[in-house]
This record gives sequence, structure tokens and C-alpha cells, in this order.
Amino acid sequence: MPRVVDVRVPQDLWPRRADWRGKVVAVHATPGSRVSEGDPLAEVEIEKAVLVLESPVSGVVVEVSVTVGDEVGPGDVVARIEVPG
Amino acid sequence: MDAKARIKVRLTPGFARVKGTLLKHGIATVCEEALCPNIGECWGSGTATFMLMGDVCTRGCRFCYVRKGRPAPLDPSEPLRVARAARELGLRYVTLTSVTRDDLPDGGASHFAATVKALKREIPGVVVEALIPDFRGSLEALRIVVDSGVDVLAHNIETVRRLTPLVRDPRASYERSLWVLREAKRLRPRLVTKSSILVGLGETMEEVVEAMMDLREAGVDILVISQYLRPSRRQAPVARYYSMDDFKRLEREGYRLGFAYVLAHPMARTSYKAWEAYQAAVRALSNAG
Repeated sequence: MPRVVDVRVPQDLWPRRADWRGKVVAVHATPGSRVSEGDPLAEVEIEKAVLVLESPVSGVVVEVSVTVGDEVGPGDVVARIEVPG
Repeated sequence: MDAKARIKVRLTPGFARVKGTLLKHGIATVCEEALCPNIGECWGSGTATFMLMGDVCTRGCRFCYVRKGRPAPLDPSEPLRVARAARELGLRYVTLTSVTRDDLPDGGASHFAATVKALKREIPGVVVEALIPDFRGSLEALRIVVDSGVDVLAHNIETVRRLTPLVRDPRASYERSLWVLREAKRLRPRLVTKSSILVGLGETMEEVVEAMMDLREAGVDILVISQYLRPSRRQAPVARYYSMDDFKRLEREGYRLGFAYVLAHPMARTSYKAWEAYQAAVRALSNAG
């Protein structure tokens, strides 16, 4: 059975500070495309750096939930990826 | 460097292990409180910089992301919790820092000292660095930390003389920071001392060199120079991103001035490469007799 994995802006990066926000500055994932574990899906700019969000799994992108310019924070879904079962 | 650093945020098993240990022992880190972009790399390799005495600072420096306000009372169990967490993580070099606690009679000096001692008890042979506040210029407080058995005493000058009133909390001063470093060295000449300058806040290169000379005159052994990165819109903007060539020039200048170890890099922070810096400083102090 294939399963769908939600890829989120990490909540763990600064575990005690979940109050940060960032802006999506690039989206690499497109619906229907195949991605491998470690492929960059999107980039989020905070004041200090650009965070490259990588795919935690290999599979097919079924949905991209953000567009360039969106404001996001820890826990927000960036994309959904179907992983073959 | 004119573009922001790109950091990968795929979290590794090493990162999860550090996170789990800190959570279990209820310990704050400056890695988190300052949104440090190096966190993935440092936690991933099994190390972290502990932040003592809570996560609320009594001062409001304009470059810093740590929460400001009225801190909670000290937790007397913290020194032992930190020591146990450090042991569990297998650390041989531990960096401690803290929020500034102007509300405490000794500024938290005894708490620092208790943590250093707990670490030394729990982890035989451990090297401990304390990155301390200025204790409002109290020699008694400073002496408590210096006499605790700490191996490296760090206090950050943060910026050049001219920008200090604009960038740091009004209770901090350039002269007082130099005093902390000078007095620590006077109290214990073999103690390794260290200080950091954040560049990119609007200073000139000449002013940076002047600050370096002042630090050297205060007997500082280890110098760290790094790029200021704005944590959020609430902090001071970045006036300039220094190039790698600028950092190399400052590094050369630092060695020319006689520092035992100079770390000048955009992403360097006080605790970065701390073990290597410590060894170089110890060698230099031994050679000096």
C-alpha cells in the first residue's frame, strides 16, 4: 500500500524556539514529479539564513502546499509525497 | 559573502540524540535561543552550548534574539543536570554560557562556578569554557568564576567602541568588557581568555583592528571574529556582509597582534572549534613560560 508523507517546515531545528517565521523563496518540487530522499523541495529564508528543506523520503510529489512569497513557520506543510508501499 | 548562508535542515540521528538528551535533562542552549544556523552541524556532531539560568535575559542588546524580560528564580538543580547531560553526550569540552542576570546579587557567578565544579566531578578531565556576562563590573563575582577551576574564560566585546552604546544594552560598556578580560587574566595569568567580535554592524575595518588591539592589550588569548546575522526584523539590520578576503585579512592581523588563536569566519561563533583554539592557547601560554 502506498502511503502519503507530509513534509513540514521542521519544528525540531531550534526545538525551544518555535516562534520563528520565514518566507518561501524557492519551490523545487512540482506535482507529479519523482523525488529522491535528500532532494531539495523548497527554500525558506529567515533573516539569518536560507533553510533548504530536503525530502525525507523517495517517492512522487502529490501536492505542493506553498508558493514563493508565502510566510511559513515550524510545522507548516510544504509538500505531500506518495511513497510506494 | 553577499548572499545568506544556505543551511540544510534534514535532521540526522546525531541531532536527534542531542535533542533527546537536552530535553530529558531540561536544558536550554544558546544554539536554539539564538536561532544559530550552525545547529544542524554542531548537534549533528554531538555537541551543544549550554545556556544557564533560564532563557530570559535582563538586558536587551540589539543584535540578540534571546528573550528579554524578568527571569525566573535560579534552579539549584541545574548545575548537576547540565553535568549529567554533558556526560551522557560524551563531551570532553563543554561550553557554558548564560543570559545576563542583573537581578541576582552576584550576577549568577556562583551558579556558573557550581556548574563548572559539577562538570569536573561528573566528567574527569573535562575542559570547561565559561562565556560570562560582565557581572556589572563586580570583581568578587568575577573571582568566583575564575577560582572555580574553569579552563577558558570567555567574555564577548561584541562590537567596536563607537557602536557599543548603539548595539549593546546601555548597562554594558566597551571599557567594562575589557576590564572583565583584563582582570580575569590578572587574577589567574595561566587562565585562557577569549573574546568575540561580530562584524557587519556598521563599523569600519580600522575600528575592528582597534578593538582587536584593545583585546590583545587586555591579554586575550583567543579571538573570534564573525559575521553578524540578523535574527529577525526586531534586531539591528546587517550593515555589511564581509567577504572571505576580509576575514582572512582580519585573521592575519590577529596573528600579527599576537593572539594565540584567531578564528575569523562568517559562520564562526564563540564556541566554534573551541577545542582546537584551547590547545593552541595552552601551547602559547606554556611557551611564554
